[in-house]
Amino acid sequence: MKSKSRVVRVFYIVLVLAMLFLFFTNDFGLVDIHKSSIVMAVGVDVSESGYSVTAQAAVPTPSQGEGSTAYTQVTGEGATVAEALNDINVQTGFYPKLIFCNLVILGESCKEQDIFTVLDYFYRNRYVPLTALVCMCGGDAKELLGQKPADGDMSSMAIQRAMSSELKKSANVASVNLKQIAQYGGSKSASTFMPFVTCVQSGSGGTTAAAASDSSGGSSQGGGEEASAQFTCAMTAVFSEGKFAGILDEEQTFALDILRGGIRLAVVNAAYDGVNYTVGLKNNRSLYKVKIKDGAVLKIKYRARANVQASENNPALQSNADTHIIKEGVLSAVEEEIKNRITSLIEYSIQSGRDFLGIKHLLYAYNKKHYAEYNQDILGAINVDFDIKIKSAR
Amino acid sequence: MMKADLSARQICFMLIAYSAAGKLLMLPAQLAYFSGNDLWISAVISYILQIAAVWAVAFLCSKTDKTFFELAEISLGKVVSRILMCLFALFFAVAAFLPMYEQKLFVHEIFYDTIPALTVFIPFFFLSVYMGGKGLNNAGRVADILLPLFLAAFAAIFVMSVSEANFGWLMPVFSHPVKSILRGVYSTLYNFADGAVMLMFMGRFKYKKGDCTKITLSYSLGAALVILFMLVFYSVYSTLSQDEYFSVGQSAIFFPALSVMGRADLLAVYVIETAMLSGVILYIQLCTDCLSRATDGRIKPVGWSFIVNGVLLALLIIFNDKYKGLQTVYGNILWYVYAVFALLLPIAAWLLKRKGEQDEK
Repeated sequence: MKSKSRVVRVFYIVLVLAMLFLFFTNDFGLVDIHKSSIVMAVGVDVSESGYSVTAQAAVPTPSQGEGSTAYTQVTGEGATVAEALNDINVQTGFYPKLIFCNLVILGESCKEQDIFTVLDYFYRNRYVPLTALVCMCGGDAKELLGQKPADGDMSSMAIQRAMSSELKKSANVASVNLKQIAQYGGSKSASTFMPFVTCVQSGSGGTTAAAASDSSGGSSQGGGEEASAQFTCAMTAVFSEGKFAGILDEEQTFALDILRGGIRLAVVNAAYDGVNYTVGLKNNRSLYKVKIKDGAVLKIKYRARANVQASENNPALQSNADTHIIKEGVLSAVEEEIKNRITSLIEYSIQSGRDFLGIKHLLYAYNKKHYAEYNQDILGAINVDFDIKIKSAR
Repeated sequence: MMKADLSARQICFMLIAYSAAGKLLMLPAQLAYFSGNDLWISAVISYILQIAAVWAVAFLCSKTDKTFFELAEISLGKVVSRILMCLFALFFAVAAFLPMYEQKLFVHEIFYDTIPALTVFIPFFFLSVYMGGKGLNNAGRVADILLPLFLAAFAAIFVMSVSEANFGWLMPVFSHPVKSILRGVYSTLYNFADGAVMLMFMGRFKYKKGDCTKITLSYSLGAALVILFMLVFYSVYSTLSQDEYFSVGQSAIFFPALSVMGRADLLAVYVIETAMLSGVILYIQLCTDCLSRATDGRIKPVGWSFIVNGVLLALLIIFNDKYKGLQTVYGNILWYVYAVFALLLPIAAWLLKRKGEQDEK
């Protein structure tokens, strides 16, 4: 009996030692930070040799005082995105693992390609999080990533801020991640969208504190006064069956966000009696569905509570509490403004023949028995039924 | 006097935690592959069949306190009973192997991706050898501890996942042909050995009035949790679902707070993983139990545990990197075996005589 318990004890000691051996096989969890880099964003351009991939990577450094964010930007070339990333490995000695990559930028040259071919690597690679935001830019993605924002941070961080969920909730940007792009593109509508980034140079802007190095291995220290870049994502690039199909303007992007839902506070400007009112819309509820009744009908229902955020006359401080109650005329003007924006979006979709509103998907999901009948020309034949009601928040 | 290895409560806990946990890993993606947005219909069909089998055995327990093998011995003789014990042992070894392989892939991909898969999974066998020789009362005690943890972890994963779910992706219902839905049922039948597990619990606990209802409802609760998870999982990933193999480790990643605090969802995944591994070990425990009985205890369960785990480890090494082939064999061929052991035999147990000559005297 005694020897049995001794065997058990020895067995447990061996077991614990074996587990400790396994636990410490990764160099005690320590990694040489000088050999590592964390890719925060990737820019993809189509080049003569295939693809040019630019990785913007934060370089972990020991703390050396305040305000210093070191990063490096390297570009690789290859027949595919994967080969281009391997080229980065060859040039720099580190293999760019994309587990912290939160942004994928497609350059303008990707317009000619099937975006799902361009993005194929990111869907196949299990290290790339499907939460990574995706956008398109005019010009080269490499150049966009090379811009320095006013706060001296990495450009990828500034672009991500321009696509943040807060901006999406205010209907200012139609941001999407890798998962959503694949979902929309893989639906019956076969259409998807992503923010279109524009960059404005604001003269001699703020001070950059970044240390950047290019692919040749050289490095340049920032810190001087130089032009700073400002990124906006108010426009939206749309794609149909993987191909670039056009760009939505700010109003159409707003309408797209309103229809897709999830909006917390949208701000709309509307004119009533020749006076401009800027109205905040809260409690946004939108619903759009396809009904088959004497033909296909796109029913759009939108409800919101409105408050005036600013107006050109009748300042709040010079009036009484009643001035916070919005006039019916102003509410009607806002309703009309939203209707116009949505109409503009639908007309664009109909004229381009691209179903980025997901109408075919809705037809299939909720009217499957009519799908075969209406599928082919639903965009040309659909009628739109608006039901937009906005009430005063007070 | 019957010696009760388990209590009805422990059986209920095992049927919730072990059974449900094992179906949260690969099954959602597999069903999405066959049935798309109708994955839940395939799951409902599979579960209706299993619930019928579990109920049939639980109800039979109210009529007799004998084990399945004792009934088989009364009706068919000792030799047939021994053959059945060996066949069930083989079945549970087979039932343990693929889920174990899937656990290896899961642990490697989600937790320790930089260490070779086999190396990182081998410590599982230390636990498996130890628990495999401990018998069913050990499995019951582990279930007592694991159930509350499993339910809490499941709730955490569910809450984190549901915020990203768009249930519109589940529409339209019955968008896939019946043939595809049924293919989903039989091709994934190897995930459902619960009827056979319940058959092994027969005669191993003291039946009290109402236990049949409790056991059936407990299994149904586990089924409801799995189907609920599938609905949320498909609503999160929709057309991408079939590529997200390790569903339980992937469904919560879009929870907004995780981008700030990191993969806190993995804590819950660890707990569910523990329940999954305990479920795999339960198969090994049942296998060693059958073998020990078949040899009249001449080789004790711990001895069989070494042998069974050794064979499974050898198979794991031999078939390392051959998951796709194994899955095809299990899905296309072995589903017949699961249909017999987990569906037909539990119901056929009702045909066995419940009183032998000794009882009548």
